[in-house]
Amino acid sequence: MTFNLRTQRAIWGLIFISPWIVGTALLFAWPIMRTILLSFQDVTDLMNLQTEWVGLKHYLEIVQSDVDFLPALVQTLRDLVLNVPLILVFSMMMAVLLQGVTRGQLLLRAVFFLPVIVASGGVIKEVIRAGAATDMVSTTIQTFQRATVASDIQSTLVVAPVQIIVDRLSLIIWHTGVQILLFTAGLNSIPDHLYEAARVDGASPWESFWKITLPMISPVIVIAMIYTYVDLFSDPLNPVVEYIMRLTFGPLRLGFGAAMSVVYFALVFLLVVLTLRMMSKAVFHLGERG
Amino acid sequence: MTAQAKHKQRGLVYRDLQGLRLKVGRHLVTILRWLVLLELAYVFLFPVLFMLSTSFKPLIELSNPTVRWIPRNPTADGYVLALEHLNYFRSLPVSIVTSAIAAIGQTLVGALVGYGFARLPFPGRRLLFGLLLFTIIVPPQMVMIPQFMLYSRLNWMNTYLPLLVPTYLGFGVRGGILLVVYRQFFKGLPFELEDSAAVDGAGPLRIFWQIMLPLAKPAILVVFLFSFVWTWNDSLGPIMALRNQDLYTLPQWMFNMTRLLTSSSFTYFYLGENLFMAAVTLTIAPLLLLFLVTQRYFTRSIDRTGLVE
Repeated sequence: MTFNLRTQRAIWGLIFISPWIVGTALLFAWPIMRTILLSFQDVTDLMNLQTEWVGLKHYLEIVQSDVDFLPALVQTLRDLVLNVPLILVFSMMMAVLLQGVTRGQLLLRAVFFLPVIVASGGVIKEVIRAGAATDMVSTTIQTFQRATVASDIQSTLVVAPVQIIVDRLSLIIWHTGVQILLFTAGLNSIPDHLYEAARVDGASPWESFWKITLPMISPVIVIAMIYTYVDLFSDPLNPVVEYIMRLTFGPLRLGFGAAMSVVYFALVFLLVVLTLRMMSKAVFHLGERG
Repeated sequence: MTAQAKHKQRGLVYRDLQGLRLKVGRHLVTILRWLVLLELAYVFLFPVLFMLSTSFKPLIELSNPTVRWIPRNPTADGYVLALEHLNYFRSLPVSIVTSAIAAIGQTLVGALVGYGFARLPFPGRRLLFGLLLFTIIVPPQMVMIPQFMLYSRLNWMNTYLPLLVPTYLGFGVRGGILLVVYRQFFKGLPFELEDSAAVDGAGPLRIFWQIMLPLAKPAILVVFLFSFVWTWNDSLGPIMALRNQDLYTLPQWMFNMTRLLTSSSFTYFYLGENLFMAAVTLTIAPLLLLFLVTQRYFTRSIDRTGLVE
């Protein structure tokens, strides 16, 4: 029996992705359904994995009696909303700065990639606790405070946002490695002739950033944003993840842990979908024009 | 000199001045750019430098504010203790071997899957790719408990299999992202290569193995490195699978050590930060070394993976 080329390629395609399909079924689809199921159950016998149905008990516990989960959740989501844009802006700024460097760019890029290696584990937690971050950040804060006292600006309206950003700086830096890479690659892929044409027409660098660079890398912003979300919400340092892990593997409250992760995921998913919606409009719009 | 000549000369001077101003301006921008970049590089390097410097400080100098970066009497005491506490000569090979096997799996299988998604149209491809993107945004904590149940049913507890087998199904640490990297790379390659090979009668497997894979070196390097680093630093998998201390990975020993020492406050105070920083340094040293060796190819490869097109 012979197939035509198209059918043949389709069959090969399925063969090529078959490991992933097995993986998705065993390590993703089944577990996700099991987690949802487990969130309505209690594990009565851990050895034989016997469970009993408890209905909404765990969800009620989250809302009514657990005092730690909801605050942790709120804090994590607030951090996400604040940190994601900060990380994106910061890493794009870094990439733009790097773009103008001809000599030594590779070396600098290597330095800015360090966080990926050092920080993707909990390693950085130790360094931060030992005072590296506070040391670094507190001097910056002091500089800001001196500046504000000197100019006698009492308005917290001005100082507060700056302070928030500075406070988050140490954290932000540890999550920018991959994003800087993405933006640098994105900037490198923008053809030079666009900038040349703009310059001939008398556009300033500032204008060509907003009218050429930003639209051209808007797809990269989406990719970097998704990566940032993934990076932050599975971070073992984030309070919700820490709490879920503690309750799941400490007292082995698997059902309650499952309920918490369902709630957590639902909110994260909502957040990602919402921002993607907003972003995709902007990207599409800019793409249409170009 | 006629008025005209004077006028002309003035014009020349003016042009020279303007040229000078532009030149100065350009240099100023370069200088400013470098200042900002160096400042930021310092910020990025700070923790690593801090770690190294502290790890060599003797106990007395830890609390001495006049000793900032370079220890006056550098000592390797921290390292001697850390080697012992980390069970280094046992846990280092464990981490290297598990991370390498996992990274190889992710790199090989990832290439297959990524190529399938990029170049072999099969029914439901768009839908399945959507599912792949969905797997990326689901936090691993969401699926870890059933995975853990699955592994214990398979009797994989206290073996390295839960860390290794998933990578051969494309589900290593952040495996989904790495599959997308491959897919983007293969999508960017020209079709002509495959077409001419197909005309010559080569099947998809041979085209993949003999033409596409050799072209995919940048993507392979990027995926391997990320996979290695992420597996090395992963805390979730080892916590789930390895309960027996003899099997612990290097980062696990490090966390174990910090937990042990910080739980009894007096020992923490006593043993000091040099021990901690030495332990941290030893834990990430292999990664830093790997990155130093490959970074030149790595940064170039990133540009060529077409991640962003």
